[in-house]
Amino acid sequence: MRLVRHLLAVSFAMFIAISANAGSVDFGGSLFNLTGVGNSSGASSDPGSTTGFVQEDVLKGWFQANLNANLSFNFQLDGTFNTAPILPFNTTLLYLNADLLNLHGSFPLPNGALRLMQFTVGRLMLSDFTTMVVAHEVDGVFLDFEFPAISLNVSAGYTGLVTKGASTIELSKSDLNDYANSGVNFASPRLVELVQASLLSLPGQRLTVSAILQQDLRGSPLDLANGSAESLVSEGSTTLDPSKGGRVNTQYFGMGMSGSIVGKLYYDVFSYLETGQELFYQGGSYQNLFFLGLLSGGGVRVLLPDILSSIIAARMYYASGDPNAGTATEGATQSFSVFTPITRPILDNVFSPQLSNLVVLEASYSLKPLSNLQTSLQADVYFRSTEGAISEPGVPTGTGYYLGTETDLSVNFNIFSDLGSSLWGGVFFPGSAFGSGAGVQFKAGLDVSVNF
Amino acid sequence: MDSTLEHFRAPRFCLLIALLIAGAANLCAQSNQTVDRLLDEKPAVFGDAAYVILSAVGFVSEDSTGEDATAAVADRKLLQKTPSATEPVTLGQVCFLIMQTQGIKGGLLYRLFPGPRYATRELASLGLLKGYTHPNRVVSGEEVMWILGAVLDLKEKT
Repeated sequence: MRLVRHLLAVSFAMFIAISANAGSVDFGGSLFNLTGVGNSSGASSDPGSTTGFVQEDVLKGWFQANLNANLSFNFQLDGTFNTAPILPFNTTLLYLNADLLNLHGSFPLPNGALRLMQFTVGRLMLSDFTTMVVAHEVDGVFLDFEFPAISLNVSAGYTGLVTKGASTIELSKSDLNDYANSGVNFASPRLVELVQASLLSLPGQRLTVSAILQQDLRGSPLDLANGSAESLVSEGSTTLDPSKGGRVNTQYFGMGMSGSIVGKLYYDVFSYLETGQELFYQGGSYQNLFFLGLLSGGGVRVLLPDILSSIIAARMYYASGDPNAGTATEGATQSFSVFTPITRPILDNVFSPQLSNLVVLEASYSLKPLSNLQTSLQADVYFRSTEGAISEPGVPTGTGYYLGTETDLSVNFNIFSDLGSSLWGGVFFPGSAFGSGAGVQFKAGLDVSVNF
Repeated sequence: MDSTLEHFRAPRFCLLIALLIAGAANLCAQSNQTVDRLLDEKPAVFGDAAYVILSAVGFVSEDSTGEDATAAVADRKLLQKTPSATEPVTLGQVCFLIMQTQGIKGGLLYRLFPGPRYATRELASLGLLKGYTHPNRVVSGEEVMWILGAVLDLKEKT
């Protein structure tokens, strides 16, 4: 905590010094309110059993200083209150978090092979090209090199100083235990490195390759906030404790392609191979297990600008599973096992499991009858890829593959350029994989946001 | 900002044509000398920027000067505090003058608190600004012409 206080003091001093020397500055904020009703609250340990109100309020403030033609300083702070956060949180959330605190530089180089170089240092968003493996705030560095035929970016960052409420890292049992522990304030301490290159020379197509490395820093000197009370299971330990785990290190190697098929018909496909190391209790003791996982996805969409700006789309995701896994997190029992992304993407309004041991088939239609009015309808069919565990409660192992179907409807209306609203709702019909007695889950709400 | 605004220089002639096509009838007859001077100004001075913006709606005559345009801004109380004609013009002042003279209603915050700050936000939300959208950033003459041309073009289309 002492280090955190020092970092805050240094950041504040930097903020004052930069503001005093800036060429131009701007500041503002936004206020977001969600009021809803549902029986699928993440705050409930038994979703679908109790109907209740949902309330989320987010107040953000931001500041940007333009130091010169190439350099800018960015800061954004948000305060969030949420009575029904998505799983795995089991408590109401109230937290403050710095979304951005960085120095950004952009240097056009018109006369060389390198056309543009950009960098960002500080608190920044790190995400892969799909945002399905990692999309998380980190403290680190981002470098971008734009050549005529290739776009190359390299980034690395530390997650352990991000406020826990703003984190969705779910790689280990210790991560899950921390979410339920109100004494823990910061996110899982991990180091993430990302190298990504896109080939731009194919007409109408974009080929991207990506490598992501992730190291678990729990229990190491680099666990800077040192906020977790979790004790790790160590290799060789003979005492089985299903509620605890060890360090989980993972690596991801991906490739994707996107572009036009014909006319206004577009596609995208991607695949990630995961390699990982975690502890597995076997033969009376915890042993290191090296495992592989696979994530694949893709979709097509057709744009119909003459028919009320309609977009018709279809998507699918496949995330590998492990038929013997009792938990999706640290559940690997064999060499080809559960795919475990670093962060948790949001798939739907009601049922939104971690992208592990999962197959999702999705169809959607959206239209824009007015310039400030957009509506969309989406249906998702969920299966698990093996009969092993998934991330959500209420799904025993060995009860079949079909998890259920969800239908979502949303209507977005921008009353003014700075005042927007969204009326949304979703219904999830549990499938045969759920235990008996699982009821229909729903959630509906009204979002209002104002930028000032 | 020079590097990011480099593209303004090449289509200088096109910008003028775009303004004419967009229906700025009163701009047709205005002094080419003033427009040429404005296009070379880095940063633009308030008087020349006000002249172009006000003459596009006939608030000043074609033979007016930057000082006349500045006086017209003060007379019509278009800004809370009118700078001198030779002071550098800011992005917020340009946006607010354009919003008022072109009759753009703006968002909720602009209606509640009309001024350079929310005028800049409004034009930025319409995608008509480039670079940093800070209201207190000084702008070049080319950028003034670009923004005015973009607003006139948008009005023509809607």
